[in-house]
Amino acid sequence: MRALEAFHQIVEGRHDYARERKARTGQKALGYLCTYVPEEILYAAGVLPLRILGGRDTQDLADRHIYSGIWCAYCRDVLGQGLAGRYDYLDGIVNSYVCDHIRGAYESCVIHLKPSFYWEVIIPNALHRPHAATWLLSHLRRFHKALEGWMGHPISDDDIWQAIETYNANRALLRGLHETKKAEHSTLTGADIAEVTLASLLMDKKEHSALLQDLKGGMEGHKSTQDSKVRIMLVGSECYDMEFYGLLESLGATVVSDTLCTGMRSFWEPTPVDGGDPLEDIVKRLVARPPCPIRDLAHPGRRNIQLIADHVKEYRAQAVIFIQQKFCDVWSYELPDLREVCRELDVPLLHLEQDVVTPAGQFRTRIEAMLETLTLGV
Amino acid sequence: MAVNLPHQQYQTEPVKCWGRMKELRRGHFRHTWDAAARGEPVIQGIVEFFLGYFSGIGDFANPSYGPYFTVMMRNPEFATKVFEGAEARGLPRDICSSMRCHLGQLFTGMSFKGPEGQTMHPDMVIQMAGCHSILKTGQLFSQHGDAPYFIMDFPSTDRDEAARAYVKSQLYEGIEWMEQVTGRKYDDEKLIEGVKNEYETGRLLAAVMDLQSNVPAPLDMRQLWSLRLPGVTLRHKAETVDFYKELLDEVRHRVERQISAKGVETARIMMEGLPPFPRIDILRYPTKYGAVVVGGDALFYTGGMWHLQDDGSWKVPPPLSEWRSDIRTREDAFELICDMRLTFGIRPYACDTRPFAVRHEYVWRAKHFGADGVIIHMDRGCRAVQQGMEENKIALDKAGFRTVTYEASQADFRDFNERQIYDTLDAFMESLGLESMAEAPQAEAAEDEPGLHGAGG
Repeated sequence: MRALEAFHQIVEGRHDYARERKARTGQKALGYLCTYVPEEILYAAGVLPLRILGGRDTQDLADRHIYSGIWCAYCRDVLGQGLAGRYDYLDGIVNSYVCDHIRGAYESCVIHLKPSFYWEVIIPNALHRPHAATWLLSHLRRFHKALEGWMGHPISDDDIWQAIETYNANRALLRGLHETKKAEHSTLTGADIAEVTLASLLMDKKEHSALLQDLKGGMEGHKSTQDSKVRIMLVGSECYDMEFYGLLESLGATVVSDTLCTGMRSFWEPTPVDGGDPLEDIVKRLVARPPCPIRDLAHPGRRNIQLIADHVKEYRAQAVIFIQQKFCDVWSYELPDLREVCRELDVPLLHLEQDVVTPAGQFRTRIEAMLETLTLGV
Repeated sequence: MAVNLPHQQYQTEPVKCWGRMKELRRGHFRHTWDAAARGEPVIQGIVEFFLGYFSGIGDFANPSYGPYFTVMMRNPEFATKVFEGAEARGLPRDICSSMRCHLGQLFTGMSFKGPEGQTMHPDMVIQMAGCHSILKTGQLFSQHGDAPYFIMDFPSTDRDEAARAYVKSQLYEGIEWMEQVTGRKYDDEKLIEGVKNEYETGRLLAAVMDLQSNVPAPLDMRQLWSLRLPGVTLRHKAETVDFYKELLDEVRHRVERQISAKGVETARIMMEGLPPFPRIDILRYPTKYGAVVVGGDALFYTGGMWHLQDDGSWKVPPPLSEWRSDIRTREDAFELICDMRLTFGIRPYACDTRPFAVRHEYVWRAKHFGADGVIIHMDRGCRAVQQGMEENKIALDKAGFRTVTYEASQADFRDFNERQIYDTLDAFMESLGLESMAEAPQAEAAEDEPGLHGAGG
């Protein structure tokens, strides 16, 4: 399918895409580090929001600025990429404060890359309580105003509504694609869907949606090649290494669902459209979206573990792979309960730690061993 | 071996308030275990900077990092069992070492068992937003320790009216919640008294610490590390305010008479980052070279309340009567809490060392306290403190300060490689032109406390 190839080209050549688009449209590009950043406001401002991803190549530039011995691999990777000049086309950087890792990387990026615009959207810790939403709204108003100041023009409610519409349309298409994996027979592989999703973080959403429509059209009439694969639920934060997905496929497994912020957590929840204040509706989405473990702090009412359990059942996953960014302690705190829920659901849990460079040989051995236990029923 | 360079001798003398500090500390530990028997609420959570707020619910116990934290710091065999209790549940070694102590006590059942057969089940878990680790730990404690959970959130950067309104709305909500959970009526008079005491404790302790800028330093960091403890665990109490008034008078008197911490001061050292609690003797290591550790971020933040300025400098806040004299209502008390947390910008547990602001503070502090060298702990056991530590080091280097780093952990003794660390410090001290004057101090003998809680105390 031609659209799949186009998505692949964008993921592989994401910097080229961003530079070409900037040249073509004259728009500014803003990089963001976390999916809690309300992209619609950026899009409404007339800039291209892009998720900053690592390069997965060995780098030592970041080590002087953040303590590599305990810092999450994603944050070290993105800072290293920034310091290496790979994001020199970005006009600004926006972060959302959710954990200390990402704040450390963000502030080092700002100190050393000196973007002309930077902002940290503070996502309240008590996001499950109404007062937090009220305060987040006031914080977003400040962000909105700062962005207007930098852009030199107002960002109207209509602009934001249009951006919400564009984003919701894209989210609906992506969710539809994701849900094809519920079926026993699906046309696309887990790796295909992961790459399409990754591309959505790196592209203009309208362009992405147009390509997705092409893909949907192209899927009609194609037969499944996935019937005999072991169905995997992938759990964790970022996983942007397409070779990892390729490895799974080559070993006879396929990802049927995930809770990644480079996967379903980036698109699952639409922004509700109540017709009042668009910023209020953006806040509602941030509260309702599948949470990062560090913004899932209620008890009772904890959602992340329940989400994983629901997806294991709905997508009939036969095993859970927890692909953890090495040193991401936010996810480490989920381990006692993740282990318990997998035991209750009677699915094996494989815990893999992913560093800046994927240890492919070690992963292969461990995944093979897990798949063998499934095949042999031990 | 004597130092080659001529160095001035100063008088030194014991700290007169020391005994009072130990009384207060002992009283706190005993109260913690006896509270449940007296029907007082047990509030689990690391809420050291909120004790005044809880005063309204009456006397309460707060086992904080878990009741056996200090025992773990002094007893490797016990610590190993507790750490393994956490690790057996799947918690990896790279999560916060203090939180592993805390959760290990929970998972091995130690959190609820007193040394003399007492039981202490928390009525509630309340966690203020200090770092992501303590928030997740509070959640796990609530879930596996069977106690309701409440988060007290603080905007980490915003200081405007909306931020104050957010904080105050949670303070109001928290009172309703605590009344519901405990069945007790919240008393605003006690709140007001507790919050006023909290302000004065933090201010007085900062004033004591600020005197460390004198030459010779009247105290060293190890002495202050213990002297600050009532300011951590009992900051809401009138007797704590009295204690710090007494200590401030004493330390001012030491300054006037040039009474020094150690009798000699060949160099002034800052120790930045939380110290490794199981090897707290590291704070005395530079004494081997006649140098004095005058302070560091962990000491100054945990207990002291400073008014942080935009340029990175700190000021000792004015007496409460000059800052906000009329505190009569719940709302007034909440405004004062917002002053302390938002206007002054105090940071709990030396957390939130975000490089934007903090790297300037590191440089200011090194200048203000006249540091000849800065020893930085690269803490495997803490993300929050390490958040900007490399950037802080770069800033200190650029400002011309001599720096050295060592790698260990605030709470896990297994991460302390003694020979490697002390070799590194020896080389650093020699690079400052100093020579060894005596053997290094040995690990400290366990103190005579029953060993409860402690912020590494």
